[in-house]
Amino acid sequence: MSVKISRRQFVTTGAAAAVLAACAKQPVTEAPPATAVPATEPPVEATLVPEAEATQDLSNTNLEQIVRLSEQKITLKAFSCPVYTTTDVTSFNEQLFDKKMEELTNVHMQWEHAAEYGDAPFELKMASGDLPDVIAGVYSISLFAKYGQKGAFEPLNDYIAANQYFSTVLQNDPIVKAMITAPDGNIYAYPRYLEVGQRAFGGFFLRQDWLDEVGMDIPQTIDEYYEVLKACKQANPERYPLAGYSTSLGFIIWQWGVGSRGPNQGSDFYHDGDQILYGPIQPQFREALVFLNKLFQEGLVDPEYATLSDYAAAYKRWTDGIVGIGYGWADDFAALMKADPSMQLVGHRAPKGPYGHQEVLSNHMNIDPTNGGGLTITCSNKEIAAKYFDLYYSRSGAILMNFGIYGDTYVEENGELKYTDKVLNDPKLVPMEYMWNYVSPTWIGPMYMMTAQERGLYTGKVGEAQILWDEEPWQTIQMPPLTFTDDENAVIQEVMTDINTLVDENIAGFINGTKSLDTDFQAMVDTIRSLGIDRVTGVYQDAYDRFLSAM
Amino acid sequence: MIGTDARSGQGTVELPLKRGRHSGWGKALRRHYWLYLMVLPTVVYFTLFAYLPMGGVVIAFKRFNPFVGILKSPWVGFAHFTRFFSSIYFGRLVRNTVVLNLYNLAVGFPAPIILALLLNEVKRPWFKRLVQSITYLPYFISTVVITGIIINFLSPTVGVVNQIIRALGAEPIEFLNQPQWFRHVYVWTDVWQFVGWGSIIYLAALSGIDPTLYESAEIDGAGRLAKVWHISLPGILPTIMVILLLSLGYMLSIGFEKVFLLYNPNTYVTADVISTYVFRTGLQGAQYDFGTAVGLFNSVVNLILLATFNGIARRLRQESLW
Repeated sequence: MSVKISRRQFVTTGAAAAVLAACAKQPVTEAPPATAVPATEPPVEATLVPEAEATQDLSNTNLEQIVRLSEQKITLKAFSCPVYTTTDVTSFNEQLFDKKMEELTNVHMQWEHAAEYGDAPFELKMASGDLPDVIAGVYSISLFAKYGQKGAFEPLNDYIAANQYFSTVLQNDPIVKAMITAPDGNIYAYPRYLEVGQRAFGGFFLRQDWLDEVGMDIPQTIDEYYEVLKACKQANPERYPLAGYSTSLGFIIWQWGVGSRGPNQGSDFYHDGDQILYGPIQPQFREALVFLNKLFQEGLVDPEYATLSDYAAAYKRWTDGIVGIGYGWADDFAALMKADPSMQLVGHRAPKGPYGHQEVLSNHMNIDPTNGGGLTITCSNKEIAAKYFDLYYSRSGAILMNFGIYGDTYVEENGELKYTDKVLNDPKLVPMEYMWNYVSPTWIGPMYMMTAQERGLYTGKVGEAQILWDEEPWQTIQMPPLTFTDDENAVIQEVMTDINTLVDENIAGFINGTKSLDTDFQAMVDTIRSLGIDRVTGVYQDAYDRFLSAM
Repeated sequence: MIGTDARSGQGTVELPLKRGRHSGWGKALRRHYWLYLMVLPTVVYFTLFAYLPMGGVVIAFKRFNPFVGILKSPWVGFAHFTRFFSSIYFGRLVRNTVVLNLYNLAVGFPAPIILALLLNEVKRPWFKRLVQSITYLPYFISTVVITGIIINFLSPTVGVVNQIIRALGAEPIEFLNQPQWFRHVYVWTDVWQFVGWGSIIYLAALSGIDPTLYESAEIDGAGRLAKVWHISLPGILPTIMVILLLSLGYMLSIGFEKVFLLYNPNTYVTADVISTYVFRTGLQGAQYDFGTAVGLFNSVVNLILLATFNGIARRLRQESLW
C-alpha cells in the first residue's frame, strides 16, 4: 500500500531518521518510518553482531581468562590517539574488543581520542593538569618514561609482579623488560609485544617481471644486486631502477654493517657486540657511499629520490615504470600491487654486503617502541586498571585483540584460527582495515600481537614477503629501543641537530657526486667529531649498558 | 594611522572624535559607543590570544616540561640562545632567511604594483576582469598543492619545463636538487601565486585617485607613462609605504611550509632557513623551549627592523605606521 506524503514530510522524516540512525550507539532494532528513505548511508553498527542474536556460549569461546574484575561497574577515563579508521568509527568504544572486555570484566573504559596523531596531544594532556586514569596509544615507551620520571605515571613494577600474564611474557622474553625500563629502574608503560613473525613489517622487494625480462634471479649479494640494476637499465635506458625510500637510500648502506638513518629508518647508532658506534664516521660507511655514488653515476638510482617526500609522488615513480627495485613497508607493497597489478612485486632478503651483513635496521624487535599504555598518577583505580591491561597478554586477551569474536570474525578449524569471510572479503575494506575499524585497536596501544594474525591478514604476495622478511636474523647490529634521562636527552638534542643536518647534506652530496669522497669525507668526519659526537655516543653507551644490565 | 599627504591632497582616515573641555573617556564612550563596540571583539581577541600568552615566552629561558608546568620548570638562562647562536649553521640560516626575504621583497613587492598600474590602464572592462580573475586564482591554492605542482613541473625526468628544455636541445636541469636554483624557484613561483591578490589593494587605491587630475594632465600634454609616474604612483604612495613597512616587519620569519616542502638535503645550503632548522630540531623530542627561544629572537629582530624603518619613513615622508 502506498501513502501519499508531501515533499516536506518526506524530507523531515528522512532527516529525522538519519539523525536517529547517526546518534544511536546500539543497533537500531526498529526500522525507520516506512515512508521515508534514510538520507545517509546505513550506520556502522549494521555489521556488528547485535547482542540479541549472538549465542552467549559461542561468542565467549576462547575467552575464559578474561574474568570479572569487579562486582560493581568501574569506569576509567582513558585517553588515546585517533582511531586508525577508514570508516566512520570514531572510538574504541564502538569496537568488538572494547565491548566484549567490558561485558566480561565489568570495567568500562571511557575512551577519549585525540584529534591528531603525534606526541602533541599527549604533551598537551600533561600540561593541562587534568589527567585521565589511563593513557594508551601510539605514544612511545620513552615518552611514558620521560613523564613517568617527572611523576605523571605510576610505576608498574609491582602491579606487573602481582598479575600473571604480562609477567609470564617477561619471564619468557627477558629482553622485553630491558626495553621498557626507564633509567630510574621503573616501568611506566605496557608495551605492544610482538611475537616472532610480527616484527618485520618492511623489507626489500623488486619487480619479478623485470627480472624475467633480463633473465636473472633474485640477487643474493650486493654485487649481484648491482648486476641486476645494470641489466634492468640496459633493457630500458628510461629507467632508473633503484628507488629511494622516504628520500633515503640508507637501506643499502646498512649492508656494510653500519647504522644509517633516514626518516623512519632506524638509527645512525648501532652496536657491534657491546659497543655502541656512530655510523657516518666509520670507514665502512664511506665504502657504502662509494658504491652508491657508482650507482648514481651510472644512472641506476632515481635522480629525484631526495625530493620525493610525498608517498603518492614516490609511488608514481613505480607506477610510471621508472623505478622497480627497492625497499618499503608491507603497506607500500600492497598499495603498489593494487595500483598496478602488472607490477609483479616479490619480497626478498637484503642482499649480502661485503662483510656478510644482511641488515634491515628499521623493523621492530620484541616490542614496538612507538606504542604504550600506562596508568597515570591520578588513576582512580590502579589495581583494576593494571589487571585490565594485564589481560591483554593472556591468551584470551590476545585472541580477542587479534581475531575478535568466535563465529563472528574468526573460527577455529583443526586447531588453527581463521578469519571469516566478513573480515577477509568485505566489499570496501582490505582485511587489515576491517580489523582496525570494527574489531580492535590493533596497531594502537599495549597488546600482545600474535604471529598468525599477519599470515591471515596479509595474503598473497604481500603475505609471502612478510614471512620472508621475518626470517631471522635480519638485524644483528640494530640497537634496541633505549630510554634516556632528561639530561641525556638534552645532550642528544643539543648536539645532534647540527650533526644530522651535516650528515644529511653530505650524504646527498656524496651520492650525487657534488662532494668528493676522497677529500670531503674526512672533512665531514672531523667536523662531526668537533661538534661533540663522542659525548652523544657516550650517552648511548650508558643507556645501552643500562639496557644490558636490566635484562 | 595613515597621515595626510599635503601634496596630493589624498584623503585620510579621521576619527570623528571631538575633544572638548569636558571630554574624557566617559563622554567619548557614551557619544561614540558604536565605534568602541565594533572594536571590542578585536581588542578582546588580541588580549586573549596575543597579549596574555606572551607570558609563556618565559619558557625560552627554561628547560620546559609540560607536566611540571611553566612555573615549575627549571631555569636555564640563555642556554637555548647560546645553543642556537653557536650552531655551525647559525650564520648560514640567518643569511638564507634574510636573502630569501630580500629577494622575495625585491621581486614580489613591485610586481603587484606594476600589475595594478598596468591593469588600471586597460580600457576594456571585460579584459581587465578576466586578467584579474586569472591572476588571483592561484592565491587560493594551498601551499602543499602548489609545491606538488612545482615539483611535478620541474622534474628532470617527467616535468614539462625540462621536456621543453630537452626539445630545445639542452640537458635537463635538476631545479630542485641544485642549491643555486632554489631561491629563484621559490621567489618566482611566489610572484605567480600572489601577484594577482596583491594587486587588489593597489587597484582599490588607484580607483580613489581623482580623475580630474588625469584630465588636467592630459591637457598639459602628459603621455601615458608620465601620467602613471606623476599621478598614479604618488597617489598610491601611502598604501605602498604602509604595505612596505608591514612586509619589512617579517624579514626574519619566512614562511616555513613552502621551504620545507621544496627543500631537501641537496639544497640545504641555500634553502635551509631558521624555521625549517628549528622544525627539524623539534622532531627530536618536541623542544618547545628551544623553538620559543628562536621565535623570540626572530620577533626581537623584527621589532627592531620595523621600528627603525618606521622612524626612517616618518622622517622622510611623514608616512608611518605609528
